[in-house]
Amino acid sequence: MPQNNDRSLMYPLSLRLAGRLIAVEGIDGSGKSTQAQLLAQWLRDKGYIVHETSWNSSPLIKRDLRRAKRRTSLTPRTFSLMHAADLAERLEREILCPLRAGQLVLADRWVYTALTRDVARGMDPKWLRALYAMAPRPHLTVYFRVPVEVALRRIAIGRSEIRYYEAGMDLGLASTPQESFLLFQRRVVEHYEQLVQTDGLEVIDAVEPVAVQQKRLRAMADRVLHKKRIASPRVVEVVTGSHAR
Amino acid sequence: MSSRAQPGQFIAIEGGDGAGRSTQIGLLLPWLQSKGWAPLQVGLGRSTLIRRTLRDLRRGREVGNWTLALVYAADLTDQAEWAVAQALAAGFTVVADRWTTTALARCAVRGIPPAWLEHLLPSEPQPDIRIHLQVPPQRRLEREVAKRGVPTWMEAGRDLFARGDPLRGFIRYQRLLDQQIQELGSKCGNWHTLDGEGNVAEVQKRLRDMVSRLVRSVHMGEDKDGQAPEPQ
Repeated sequence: MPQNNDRSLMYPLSLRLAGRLIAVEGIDGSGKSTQAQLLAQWLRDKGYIVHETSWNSSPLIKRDLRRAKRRTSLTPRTFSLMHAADLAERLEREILCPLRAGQLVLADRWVYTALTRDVARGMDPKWLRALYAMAPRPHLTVYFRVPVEVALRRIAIGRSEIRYYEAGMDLGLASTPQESFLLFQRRVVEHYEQLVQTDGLEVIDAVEPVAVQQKRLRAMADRVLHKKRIASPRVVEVVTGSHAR
Repeated sequence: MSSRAQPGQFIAIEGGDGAGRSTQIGLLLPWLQSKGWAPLQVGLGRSTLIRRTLRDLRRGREVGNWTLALVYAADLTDQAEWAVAQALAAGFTVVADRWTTTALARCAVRGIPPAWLEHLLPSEPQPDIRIHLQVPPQRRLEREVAKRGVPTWMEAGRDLFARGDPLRGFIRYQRLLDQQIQELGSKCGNWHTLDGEGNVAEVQKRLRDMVSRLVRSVHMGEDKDGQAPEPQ
């Protein structure tokens, strides 16, 4: 469970969030995106306003980030900084306002992705937590736990090749992408398991049938939503904070 | 000051908009070359890693303050890790058209805590010499208006003073920026202010004098005993 009530990871933003932020986390091939989409649909059917956002998708940063990944011109440090810039842009454009207005935001990956992957790349966890100080702590973060071998098989079915950075090829751990993927993602999984302990991530066994996982996920989401009834959009609570001009 | 083993020199020229930095650096580089010091120019907003984003910002795309700060961090880190580090190792003289101090100041006036951002900006390599090219905002405004008719959105701080007119906005914003640059910069031991008023040739002479004196002292190791700030 979260260690403190402060909604930001490190830096107190003094923004009061009337809505709910739910994040799904897990390695590539854990099936988290599929589960998130099913959850979003279910929540919408129940009448909630749901905003979906996914890791490295901001129109501003995405183009440069894609190009840099194609050219493999990122160092661990610029890799982290670019992803943080991407999240900052999404926070300021598509996440914080809905949350302040009492709506739901469903995030496919959150800062925990950086706190696992980037640490596996050798970045200092303290530096990373400071880097992501502007990000609020989700009301619910669900980690989809899956053995790396299973994840690799799923990726093989879904698409033809493993991506360079996803396999951690920049670290030079192994010569083939498959081997490198297993070595790199195993490290990532270790860091996720630590976060389950320290940051209160909830766990779903991602080897179970899709429908069973979804049932669990819906129950978890229900609990978060029921703590404070969130239904139709409410009057925007005008809050002054670091983001107010 | 610098514990770097690399043979090259790293000079950062900081300052507000319209102070004549680019003009002065444009004249400084061939002079460095003529002295046999191979120069390389870097600077805030010049990284190719994040160039599309930076171009959008220059064109006035609205962006949140946290995003701006992180874009600067990525921009400077990319240049520091590749171009600057390589050039210094090869013995080049690196001249930055604005570096971390201006980035920090621009974000600080927008409410981003410098202590947070400082931690994210490249800590290595550190400039050996930091020069604040100082020109009063009023004088810089005249130059900017002469150049393009109206100060740009960012230069006039219009994301901060949206309702103000561009000219007053420029003065107000640049004054804040100058203050921040001076405050943040003077915390560094190797901070020097240079009077940027007067014609281009005069300023260039002052700049060359300052650079040759400081570079020499860095070379000779005289700079180690906590250089006194430049008397104005």
